[in-house]
Amino acid sequence: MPDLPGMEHPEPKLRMQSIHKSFTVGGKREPVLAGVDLAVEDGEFVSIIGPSGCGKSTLLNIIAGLDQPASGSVSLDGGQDQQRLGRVGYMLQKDLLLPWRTVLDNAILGLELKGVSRRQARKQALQLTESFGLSGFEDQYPFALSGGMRQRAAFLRTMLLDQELVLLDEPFGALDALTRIQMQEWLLNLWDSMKSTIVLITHDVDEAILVSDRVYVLTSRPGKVKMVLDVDLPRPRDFEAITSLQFTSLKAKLLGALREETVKNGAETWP
Amino acid sequence: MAVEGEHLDGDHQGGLDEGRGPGRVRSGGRAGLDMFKGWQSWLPALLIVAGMVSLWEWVVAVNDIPHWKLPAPSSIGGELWQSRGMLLGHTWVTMEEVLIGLAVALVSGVLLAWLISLSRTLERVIYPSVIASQTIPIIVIAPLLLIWLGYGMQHKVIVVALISFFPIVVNTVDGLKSADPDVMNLLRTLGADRWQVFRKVQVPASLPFLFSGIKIAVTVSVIGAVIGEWVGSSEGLGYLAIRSKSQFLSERVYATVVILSLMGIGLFLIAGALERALLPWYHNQRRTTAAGED
Repeated sequence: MPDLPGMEHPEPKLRMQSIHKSFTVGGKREPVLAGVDLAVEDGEFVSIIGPSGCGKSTLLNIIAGLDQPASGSVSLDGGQDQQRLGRVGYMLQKDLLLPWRTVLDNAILGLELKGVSRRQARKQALQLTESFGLSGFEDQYPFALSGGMRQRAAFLRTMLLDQELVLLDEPFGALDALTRIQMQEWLLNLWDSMKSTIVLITHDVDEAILVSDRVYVLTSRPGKVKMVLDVDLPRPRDFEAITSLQFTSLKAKLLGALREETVKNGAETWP
Repeated sequence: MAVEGEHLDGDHQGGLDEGRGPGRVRSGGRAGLDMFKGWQSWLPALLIVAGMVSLWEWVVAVNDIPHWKLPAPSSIGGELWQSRGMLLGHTWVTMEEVLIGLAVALVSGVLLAWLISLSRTLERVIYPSVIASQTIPIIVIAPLLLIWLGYGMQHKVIVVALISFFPIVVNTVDGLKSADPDVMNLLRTLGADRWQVFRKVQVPASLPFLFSGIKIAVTVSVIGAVIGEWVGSSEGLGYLAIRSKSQFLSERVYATVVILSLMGIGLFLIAGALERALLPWYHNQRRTTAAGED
């Protein structure tokens, strides 16, 4: 979304202002987030990247409503301090499928919790299993599925609810390299067709550039925004974009910023 | 949940912890179950039992041991057949006590486990009494129950329930606590309230544990019934055993023991079959992981 000067901006989907948070670890107060400012427009794909332990997951927990900031404000669709649980989709590296439910019944979990009848929910989910690469596996239990399929089933569960904002916390981190590339391309297509707003946390610089409209780089702990990088690569993108000159120069910028943080941090290694 | 969440980056490693099934209070039930699949797999167990019985028979015959001291397996078998009508009558009495006692144990055990899992405070209030109930020797309690409840069936049912509710409570509490906190958080982001999290995650997660508890409970329940009958009864296998002993009818004593252990084994197998039927996901998952596919 180009930022035209003078144009009246509607409220962004998500706005976070000077978010602070600290944890008490072993009796010691440890600041984790030190004033994070962040905005995500409707329909945007934004990535957050940063050194290990910079508080990325804490940030997502706050966005999802699982955790509250010590200070600062979070607004979803312009509303302040409302209940965000149930409005923001959240997906972790672990697929968190319920082992006692079949793929289909895992997918409809969110709808079921909203009070949709099982039959209706199943019907709705069945229309999507094809595009999630799960057709033929609807009645399988999760343990029988490969890692990539389980992750897609978890995606289906997240997307089926049609929540306003979807948070992805290293969703492909546990997959092998080849599956990860396939999943990234698949996610791009999915995002294109579903027009959802996504915030992705990743350790993978290539992944961040490939999928995002914007990349936020966080500093090492306590985390705050170090750099915001606009990714103006043409869409639709596929994996070949990775070798383009434009991509490489963006990657150099990102890696440079990250290296500064890791060096500052001393002991931490990157990636 | 909030502050102890500690979702600092990097601790999402490790993937799904597949191997962790219920593992606490359990007396080797899981490994033993697969023994009973397909009749060939019964063979080793049968052979061992047959070998021991033959040895017993031979020792009795060679040493000319008097039957009231140690009856030969053949004469125990003879007794089982000859007195089958009478034995069956007593068996039914004991079986009834065991089944009713188990039902009481199941209901009270699950209810207590649920209460304990509700809050830390309730856990601190209830759990100690539950544990204390197991430290009092049942043989001391049983006569008191007889005095309080009279000569009927109640005191035996209560002894059975008292002895078998404990493994059910302990296992179910562990089961309710075993639910992955990340999964519970996920449900909250899907809009679930506390009751929905309990129903959709904690309850199903606890079922394999509950079944482990039931398997222990059914085996000890038979002991409970016998103790109850010893203390005061005019029927049942425990009563028959104690009366036959005083009459030096050793064959009959052993016959009751055979029936009692068959009863325990039978109940155990039924519990295992129910588990397989009701929790197919759990059973199959265990099989695949055992085969090393994950």
